[in-house]
Amino acid sequence: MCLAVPAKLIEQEGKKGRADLHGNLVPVNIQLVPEAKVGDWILMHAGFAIQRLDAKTAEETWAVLENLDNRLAGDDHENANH
Amino acid sequence: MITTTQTTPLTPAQQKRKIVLAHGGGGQLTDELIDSIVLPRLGNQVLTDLLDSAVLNQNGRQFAMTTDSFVVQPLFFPGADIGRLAVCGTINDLAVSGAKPMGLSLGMILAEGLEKKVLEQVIDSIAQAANEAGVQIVTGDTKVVGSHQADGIYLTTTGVGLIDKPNQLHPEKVQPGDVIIINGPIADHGLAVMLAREMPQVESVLKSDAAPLNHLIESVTSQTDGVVFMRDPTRSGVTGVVVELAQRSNYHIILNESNLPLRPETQHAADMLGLDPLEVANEGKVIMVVRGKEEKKVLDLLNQHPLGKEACVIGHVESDKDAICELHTIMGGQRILQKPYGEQLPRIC
Amino acid sequence: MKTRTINIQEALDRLQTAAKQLERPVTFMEVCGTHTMSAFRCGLHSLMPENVTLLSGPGCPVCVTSQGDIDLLIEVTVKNNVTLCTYGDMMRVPGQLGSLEQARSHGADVQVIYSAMDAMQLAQQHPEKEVVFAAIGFETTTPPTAVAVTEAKKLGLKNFTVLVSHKLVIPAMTALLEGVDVNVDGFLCPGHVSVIIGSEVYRPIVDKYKKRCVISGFEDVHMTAALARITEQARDNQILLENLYPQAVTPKGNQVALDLIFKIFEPADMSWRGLTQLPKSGLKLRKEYEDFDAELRFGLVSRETPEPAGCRCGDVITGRCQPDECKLFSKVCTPVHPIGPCMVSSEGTCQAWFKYHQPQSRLRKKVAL
Repeated sequence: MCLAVPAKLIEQEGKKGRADLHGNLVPVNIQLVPEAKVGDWILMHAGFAIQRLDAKTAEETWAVLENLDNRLAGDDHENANH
Repeated sequence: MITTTQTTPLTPAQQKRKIVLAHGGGGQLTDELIDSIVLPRLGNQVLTDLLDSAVLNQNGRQFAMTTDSFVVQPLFFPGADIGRLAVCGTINDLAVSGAKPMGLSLGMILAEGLEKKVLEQVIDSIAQAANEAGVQIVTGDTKVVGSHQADGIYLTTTGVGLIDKPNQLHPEKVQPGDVIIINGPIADHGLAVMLAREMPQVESVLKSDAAPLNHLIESVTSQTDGVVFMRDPTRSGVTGVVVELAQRSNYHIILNESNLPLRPETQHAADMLGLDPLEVANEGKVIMVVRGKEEKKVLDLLNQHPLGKEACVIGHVESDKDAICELHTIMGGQRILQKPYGEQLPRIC
Repeated sequence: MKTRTINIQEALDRLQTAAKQLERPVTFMEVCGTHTMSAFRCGLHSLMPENVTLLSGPGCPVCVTSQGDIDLLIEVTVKNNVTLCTYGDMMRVPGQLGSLEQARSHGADVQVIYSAMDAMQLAQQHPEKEVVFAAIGFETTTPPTAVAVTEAKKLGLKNFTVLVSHKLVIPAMTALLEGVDVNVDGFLCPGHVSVIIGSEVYRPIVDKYKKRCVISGFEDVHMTAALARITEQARDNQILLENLYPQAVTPKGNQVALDLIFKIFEPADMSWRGLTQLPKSGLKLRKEYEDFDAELRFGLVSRETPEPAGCRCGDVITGRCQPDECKLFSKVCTPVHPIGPCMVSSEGTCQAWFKYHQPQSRLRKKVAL
């Protein structure tokens, strides 16, 4: 379950912030991710930031939507791939 | 503990006795209401065709007539408002029926307490849209109801138009090899309204696409007879139109997801709300079914018009007679499209 | 950590290659409604190798909510004259007293909201209204409820309560594995739940129950890549915990969110559709927050109500049967007139099956002819 979307935090004031979801500026509650800073990529669920995303990988999650191309990370499957 | 007002629980029979919002959503539940209550009582040869406009024959000429009511909330939203919508909706229903609009009626139901300023804005917007369409409001009616009986303004517009080329457009004319064309990006209107209604704090670049399409459509149909059917994908979106097209033509229709024009901001708003852009309403889009050999000509003509710059082919008609509409997804998979149930609700889970 | 880029074709190729090398057919289960939805929307099932099956488990919060809890929700709305705030997902679920949608047509005040905070703020702005928030969902959706309750307590709101049916994913997966007739070769683990609970909590499922776990994101490429990996594990006789959604999921999850959940809530026994009552598989408000418990405020008593006659939603979400093995499916139970919750929810297995899979098999038959 659980629909969540990546967005960029563009404003922050205490527990409240605003995130840019590709031209949609959405108010977001950031108290579950207190370390989030303006400029960070966050994962948004039901009006809340639930995770700070690694900037590079987040941009690639965007890339998935646009270029159908994404990063798979980790050593395990590199090794397992023969 | 709080004392409570006792309401009798609903028995299964009672549960389905009343109209729910989704009955007005233009999806399967609306169809069911029309089929079970309206058509058995009012059905006739013209009505039962259930096209965007009724086609009336008079002295060898064909006229189109259509009507539509508008209850959108909020009254004003990015890109349009209830007034612009009321003009475009009816103009477009005439235009996709191949008719040149001759005049519109305007029925208004106003709630007591409405600011006159608001009414002025709505009427200005009606004037502006009618001007763009080159059509006049030729008759009207005004009623006022108590402030609790209505929400601001409800509008009804009826339009009459003359069909230049009789019997040119009908779903039964659709053949294998025909292509399906749309004049631009989908889902902008429905999402702009939903954001404005459900999440008014969101600031978005998203705008309703509401526009009168009669000039665009005429610029095509006056130059070619290659268009065999048209429909505007309003409620129920592109899915609603194409599924119905498959059912009424009885052919197999393939849509290509990767060809569907969709703005990124629209896609992301749809993702956030858990909606499928294919099922979201448009108010300035037309879906044309075009003979394969006329594809390029129609695209060229559409591309020359400001409202058709992003026109493209999104699918085609195959020869199988199974009345199914199939979507070829971006990842290369397939799925069958079905008409949505009705009311579109944001989903979070 | 090495990284590399994979595209969708590559992921599909890997899935096909691994499937060809399998010694026997395999069955995996996802436990996430958005996975169910995403797989159907992108047509993943039409691209699956014949010997790899993806089942939808108890992951759609609407579908796992017990009939008794649904009835409670409808009851408080219809009988107690409250303003019921709900996520859109719950609007059409039928209870014995009808659905929320039908209750609204009979005059009940039902509001669809996007965030738990909307419900709390509605109570704040309308002290004359008694606002109840229908708190459904797994660990992803629970922290927002916890924040709303915390804020309501801070503000001293007297007219805001929560009807809690929040559930926990791991106990459900464990219960499935304890069942005798459920046989899966691994789990596609829910990416956004894992954002909160972390990846390490699946370790016992791998170690004790010997089931592979691969955490997956939600795009078509994410899901295909995760399926490819879990199939490769099966081929190589490996049983591993792998995180293929590392941009969002960390080993320990979101500690702030977890702390908040367990500050407000404590684990409680919970009824699940299809799994009956599972110990410590859900959450209830702690004593300090019981003023915000709608069940206490309105004296609601959850009853064990039987599922609608003939409905096999419980079997469907535990992988014991496919939707079309239910006698009601597509005959009397359809998306327009749903009988069970799996047909109501747009991410319910039955609705997804009805919309995407059923015509799909018609299509396959046609191709076969």
